[in-house]
Amino acid sequence: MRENVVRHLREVVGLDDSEIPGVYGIFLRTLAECLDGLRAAASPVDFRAIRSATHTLMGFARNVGAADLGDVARSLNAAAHDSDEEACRLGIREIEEICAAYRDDAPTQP
Amino acid sequence: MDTPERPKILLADDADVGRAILRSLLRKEFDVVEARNGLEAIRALESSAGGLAAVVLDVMMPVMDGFRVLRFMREKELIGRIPAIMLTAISDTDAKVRCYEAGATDVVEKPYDEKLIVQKIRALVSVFSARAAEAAAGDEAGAFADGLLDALPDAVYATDPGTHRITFCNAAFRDLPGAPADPVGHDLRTCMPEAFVNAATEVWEDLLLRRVRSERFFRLPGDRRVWRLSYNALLDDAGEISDLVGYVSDASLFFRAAPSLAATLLPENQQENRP
Repeated sequence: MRENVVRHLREVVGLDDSEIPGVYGIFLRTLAECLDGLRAAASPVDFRAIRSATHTLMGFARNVGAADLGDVARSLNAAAHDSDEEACRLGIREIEEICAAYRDDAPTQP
Repeated sequence: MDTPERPKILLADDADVGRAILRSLLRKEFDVVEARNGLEAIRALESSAGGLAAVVLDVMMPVMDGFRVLRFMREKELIGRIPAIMLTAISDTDAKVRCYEAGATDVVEKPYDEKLIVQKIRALVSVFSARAAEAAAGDEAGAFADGLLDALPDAVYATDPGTHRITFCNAAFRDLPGAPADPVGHDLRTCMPEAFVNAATEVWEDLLLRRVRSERFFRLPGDRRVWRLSYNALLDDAGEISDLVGYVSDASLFFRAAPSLAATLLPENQQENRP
């Protein structure tokens, strides 16, 4: 699990160590749903769908301690508002990479 | 020993992780009821609105958004009784203004400060529950006063000084011969028998001339009387009316504004106040 997320869930949200893997799993699941939405909106570019998916990401990313994800989601949301196709494609790719990194650090199933 | 009931919060957010985080933040002092969209939130409100201490709503949700939930709360007159906190990731001012216009008590931008949002919910729950307790106490006092007046054999009423419409009456007034079934809202001069109106007017004029008291009364058959709740007059040393401090429009106001006059309505004091 990513240390930044674990630390945030423990110190700011107040979760016990035993509870953190469960919430981390919910985080990854929500992340996967948003990513599915973004991928579907990438080609052809659907600005409205991108705005919707990034709206969700922006809402929760920082509150689980994933500030990097929140920052990229905000940039992508702005690009969708500006109808900037190229910036949207780049943003979606960037979010895919960040999501992959979070998934790689996911807790293993017992 | 019974554990005191914890305040219950309805939390509506379509993002599972969003609910998981906020639930974790609130669980120390609140019971959290969760909804994944506006429709589930409305169902939760229908089943347990009376037991909810606050509602936390994401603005953008599938099926029904937070605005629809606020509209439902307005229709059910829950706005103002239960604090509604809107969560939004949109930072522009117009979006927040729309939330307030729709009836939100407060708007919190996502991502939120974890300590601040808990503090905010705690403060709103505290203010609203204190207000509800105050209103309940007021209702109880009013009901008690109304009950006292309803128990009197004398008829008691109050009218609006401008329109002469009846604003309050007790059970004995409603039982007067010729009185409408529900006199409140009717013009006293047209809804009551002419003899009653004439008697009331004569007594009022008489009292004005004598300048002794501001509440009116006259006798009914069977040693009953009619009282009109009216001004609370302040008399100076010479017995002249020096000020009129308020119009008494209902029984609870009467008891609060003029306890000494209220005492004169009690049966054991009736003899002292006869002309």
